[in-house]
Amino acid sequence: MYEEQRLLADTITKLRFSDQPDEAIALCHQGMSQFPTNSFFPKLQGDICRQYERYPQAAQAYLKMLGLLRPDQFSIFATAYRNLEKSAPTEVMYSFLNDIRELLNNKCLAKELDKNLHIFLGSQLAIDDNFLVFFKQANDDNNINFIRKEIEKWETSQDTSKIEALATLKLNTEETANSRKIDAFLIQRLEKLRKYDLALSMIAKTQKPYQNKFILAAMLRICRKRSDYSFVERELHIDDDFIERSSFNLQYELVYYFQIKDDEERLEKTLRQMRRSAAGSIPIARTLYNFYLSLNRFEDAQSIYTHIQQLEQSQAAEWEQRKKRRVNSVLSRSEEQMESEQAVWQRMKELVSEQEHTRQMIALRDLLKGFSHELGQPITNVRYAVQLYQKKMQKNLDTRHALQVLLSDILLQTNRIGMLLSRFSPIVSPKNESGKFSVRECAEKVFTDLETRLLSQNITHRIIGASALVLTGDQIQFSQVFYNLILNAMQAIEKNGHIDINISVSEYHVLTIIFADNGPGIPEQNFQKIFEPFFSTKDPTSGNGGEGLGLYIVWNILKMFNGTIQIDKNFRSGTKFIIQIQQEKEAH
Amino acid sequence: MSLVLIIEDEPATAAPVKEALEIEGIRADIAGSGTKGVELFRERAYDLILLDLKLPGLSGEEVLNTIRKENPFVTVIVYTNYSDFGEIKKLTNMGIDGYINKGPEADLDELIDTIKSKLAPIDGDAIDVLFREFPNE
Repeated sequence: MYEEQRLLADTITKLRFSDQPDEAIALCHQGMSQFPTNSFFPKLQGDICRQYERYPQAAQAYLKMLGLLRPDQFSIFATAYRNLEKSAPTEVMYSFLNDIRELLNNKCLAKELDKNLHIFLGSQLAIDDNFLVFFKQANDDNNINFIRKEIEKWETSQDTSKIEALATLKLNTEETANSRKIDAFLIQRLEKLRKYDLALSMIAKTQKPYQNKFILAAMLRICRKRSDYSFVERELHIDDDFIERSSFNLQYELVYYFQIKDDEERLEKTLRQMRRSAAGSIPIARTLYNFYLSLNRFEDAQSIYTHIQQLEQSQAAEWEQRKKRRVNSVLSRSEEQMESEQAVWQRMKELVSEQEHTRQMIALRDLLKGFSHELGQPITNVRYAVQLYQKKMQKNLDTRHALQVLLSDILLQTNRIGMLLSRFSPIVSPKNESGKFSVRECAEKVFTDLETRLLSQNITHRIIGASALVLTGDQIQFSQVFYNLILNAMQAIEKNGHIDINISVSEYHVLTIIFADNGPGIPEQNFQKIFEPFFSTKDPTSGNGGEGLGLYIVWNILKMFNGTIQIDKNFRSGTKFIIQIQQEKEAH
Repeated sequence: MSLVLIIEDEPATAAPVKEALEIEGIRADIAGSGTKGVELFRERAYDLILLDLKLPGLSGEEVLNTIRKENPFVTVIVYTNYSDFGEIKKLTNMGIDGYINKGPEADLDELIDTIKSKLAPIDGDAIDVLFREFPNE
């Protein structure tokens, strides 16, 4: 029987691709009547109709196929549907959806298919004629009570795709609606369902100008949950005034926001604002206490803790007084209590230093992970190349040319491994030629080495600072600091720019090097990550570095020199690094 | 004949995979970036998508997300040299049909076998065979 089906299918396909659609379709019908339970012939008919742009017929054929599919074959329908959707007009898809809905209502599909259809078409299925009437009502806030009840009903019956459908319709309509309150309610439900994209789109479309404090808090909260504040940055102007006007819910979100943004000044301002609200409220004080702990600010936490206890005592006192009882012992804390609290603080401080250790371990783990990833790529390529060649040998497809390709691939990939390893040599194998060297001369030498490339990119430079300013250590190793910073600057500037280096020393023998370029600068969201190994925004296959090791190497070398490097977060006309190194004390 | 989409930014990795598939009679397209991958996915009807996770621009995870949003039922195999268990678990929840290691354990034969088995499961009956043997276009 299978051979028969196959033969028929072959003939149909031949006709199909030799511009004889009518004959092909006729044979499909023959197949359907001969093998009425076979879903393949309706599928073939659908494909042919789609190919020859007979979309309504294609939809009918696919519908027939859907009725015959085995429960595990749903993906065949899904693919057919999506392909039809790409070319068929909207009206065809609309009536196709109606037919599918009817099929579902008649309950003649297997349970598994039924479920998959709901997953696959979700909100599209929900939109029928009745729903469109409801949608009109949902555009008028006068109906809010009715709409709320209806939506709550959907929630209890877990018919949540309707909520999405309503939002999608609202987003796609041009009609002006008087439904700010309904929309706000809908947004709240969407957030609860974690449909964050939809919720944010609804907010942007319906809630401007943003004044509703629940919506404001929702915007920040959703962004926090998605770990992406770009929506808030685009839509809101968060300044000092905003903080002052904000309610507690909003302040709570702002604390997270400013932490992510690394804006300590505003974080502080928000915390102070919360502190004021905490004066009379235990829940707010508790929240603040938790924030202080998470920020490792133990003194502040301790002080708010005392405050919470006072609040609790005065509340207890009030309560007691109301009951007309004597309050005495409640007010004074016992010695033991104080002592145990002291122990808690001690333990907390220990935990923080353990945390520091953990952080170092995580940094090491990330380095190894990045390293094994970077090495994994060329290893994969070598192995694939060799195995492909073996496969060719087995199938007698190997040629001299294939062998040559294999060998040059292997050389190329091993070369890549070698290059990666050599990037680490400044850290791993310093020359140990320790001595005093002039920082200015060290920088000048690197500029000379790179002269041709700097000239071709038309990048000028200026160094300020006396040649007499010296460091002790391996000059070759230290020159890698300048080398990597200059290379980064060159890549950022591309063409026509300037690099400024300023070397100075403080009376406490702290040598400061300020390194600035006037390139496009580093996006704020990357500030935290730029010193991490293998963090890169460049294309790693372009050669010429880009593997994300430059600044990591700089950071490591400076560590060996007892120094630090920071990025100037307020510098906006390019990138500015501040390097500080403790000079060795004069021994003689 | 089956059609596979390889989303991989390294030509030196993608080329041998494509060639090995072709030896087995499976056609394959290569997309060198996530954006290109999504574009091709929307254009052509693929039977299977092989997805590298570490991609420049649009990440593998974002690509998977987009694909799953538009077609939850197309077969996706992820191959990468992450060995982070949490990562894999997260991906499994996003819906992948297979996971293959690159790096030191990279094995082209295993990769090809997995793709073949996903394209034509052994327990498929005659209709399945028909479905797979005839092109979609």
